[in-house]
Amino acid sequence: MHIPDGMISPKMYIPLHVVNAGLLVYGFKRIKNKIDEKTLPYIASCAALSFVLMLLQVPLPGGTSVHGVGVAPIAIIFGPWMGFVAISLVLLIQAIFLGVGGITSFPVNALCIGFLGSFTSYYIYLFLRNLLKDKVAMFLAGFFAILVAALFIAISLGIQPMLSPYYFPFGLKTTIPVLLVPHIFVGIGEGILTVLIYEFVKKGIKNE
Amino acid sequence: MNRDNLMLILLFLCIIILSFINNIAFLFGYFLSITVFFLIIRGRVGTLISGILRVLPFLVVLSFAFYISSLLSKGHPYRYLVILNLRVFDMVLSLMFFREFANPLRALSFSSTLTYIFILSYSQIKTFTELYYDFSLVMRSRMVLDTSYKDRILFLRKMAGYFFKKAIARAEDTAMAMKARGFFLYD
Amino acid sequence: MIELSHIDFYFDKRPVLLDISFNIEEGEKAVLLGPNGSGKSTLLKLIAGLLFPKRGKYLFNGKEISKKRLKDKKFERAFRKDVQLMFQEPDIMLFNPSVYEEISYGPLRFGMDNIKERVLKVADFWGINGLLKRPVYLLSGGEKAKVALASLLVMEPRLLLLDEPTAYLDMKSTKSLCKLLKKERFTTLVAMHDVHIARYFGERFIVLSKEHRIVFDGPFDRFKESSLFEEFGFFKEESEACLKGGPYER
Repeated sequence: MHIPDGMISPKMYIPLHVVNAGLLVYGFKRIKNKIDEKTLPYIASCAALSFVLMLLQVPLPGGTSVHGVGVAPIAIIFGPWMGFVAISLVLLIQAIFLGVGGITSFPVNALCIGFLGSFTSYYIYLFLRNLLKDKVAMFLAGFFAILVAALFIAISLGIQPMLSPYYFPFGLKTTIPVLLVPHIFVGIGEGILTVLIYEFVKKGIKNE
Repeated sequence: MNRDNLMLILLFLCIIILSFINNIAFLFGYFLSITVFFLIIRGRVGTLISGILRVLPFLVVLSFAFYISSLLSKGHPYRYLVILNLRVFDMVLSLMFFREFANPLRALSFSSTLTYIFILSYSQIKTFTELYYDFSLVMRSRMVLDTSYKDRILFLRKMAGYFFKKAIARAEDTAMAMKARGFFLYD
Repeated sequence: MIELSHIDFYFDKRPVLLDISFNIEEGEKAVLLGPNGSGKSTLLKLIAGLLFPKRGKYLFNGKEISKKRLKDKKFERAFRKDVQLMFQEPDIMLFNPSVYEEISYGPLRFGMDNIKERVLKVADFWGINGLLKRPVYLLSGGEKAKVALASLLVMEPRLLLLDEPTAYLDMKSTKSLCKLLKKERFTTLVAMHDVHIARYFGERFIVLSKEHRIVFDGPFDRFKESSLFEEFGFFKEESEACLKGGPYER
């Protein structure tokens, strides 16, 4: 899902860098107000957790498997701001240390996957947990987190031809279906992962 | 501000400049100079190839699709494609150039809080990645190859749950260790 | 130096330590033994003022250590400088960019003098002077353990708490550690499993049961003769053999 460098026009990535940085600072302060001395260790732990969840292969019924993202379980259990800060940190580390993703695309990736993904999953879970079974609410939270993230990435790419030439060449009519269809499977994977982690946490609490 | 911070700022400037310029000669010159640098001055053929290979599949698919769609609409895709591809390569190579010379951890350390965030996260990511590879070896060594769907899900649950528990335990312990070493005494 | 009286500690509702009482005098070398999950690590964290008991009192140099007392920053500063704890996982204690910065972190934080000399001296002892410029996260487990130990010892603590310090160390470093613990005058409380190594420096053995209570407190010879010794999985013959020779000969 990571967009590489050279796809996003400066008309978009420069303002988004500013918005993203502002949100990150605000998010960090929110977390610090809540857990104070534990802020740094928890951010680091959540970042490492989401990094490793991205490595995990989630088997889908039918034999294939997809990579998890881990944004939904982290956002639901630790809160959406933690999800956003942790995922952004991972994306930045991937871009600068490992050369995966990119610097110009970092704010788009961070805002779509980290911010929208975290808040979508968190609020969908809050809304649905009273209406549906916990497991189903968890699955849907994970599923929609990925679909919303993919939709906004598709929109960000799709409006490039309108902004300036020589960047990502295809418009919305192409990007939305091309990105959304495969991400239905990634969404199912994320949904399964969210349910598994939730089951584990619930069982762990019962055993204590 | 240290040398690595400056290198990072320089990298950002290069990338911003590259993203504003649509001149083929400039983009090609930039590409050539970094390539020559890697090949002749540093002798790093492997680094160069691995960097390019990382974006190549995406670019090939994208370029091919754009070429076909332009042919169908009777457009002229060549200039567009050359600029797009050159710019991506230039940006990837700039990032590689930066990584060749700077220590990314020091480069990102614009304040002490940022330094600690990156060090704690990066070292934990390293530990977790090593554990993850151990887990994959366990899966191979303790299970038959064609495992059932249920087994694979159970194993995944065990693995994800393990990392989850480990992340919380480690955060709590790290907070205590930092406290014990006087981290919060003056803040 | 340390006085614990009737300490209970619960994790949520699960008991971790029950009715723990003992004193440790200045300069004493004590060893904490006990099966997995008996509460050794928790006890060390409690003595380091990182966790607080649910019931009972913990006095350090005659002053009760409580959450409230540690809110006094001046007191906390003095306490944290005197008491150094090595965590079971040395990795988590390390958060500085390079080995040099890691070792000098404490002395800088607590305003000690001659920092460079102190760091070089302790690095030399652990044979890590070659690593001083390396980032900590690139070190191996054993090297990290040495850096963690160096970062504690550079503080010249009065009370050194070690949680299974030998787990990541090779035999040579284990021997150096044992010699150091025996020679130096600081008070130590070391949680470990290998009684034969602990015997080298340990003057007193405190044994926790898996029911989280103290079941033995005394010198090694008495522990060896007690019925607990074999119950805890140690072999008397091995212990005799150790006494006669081997790397930790007295």
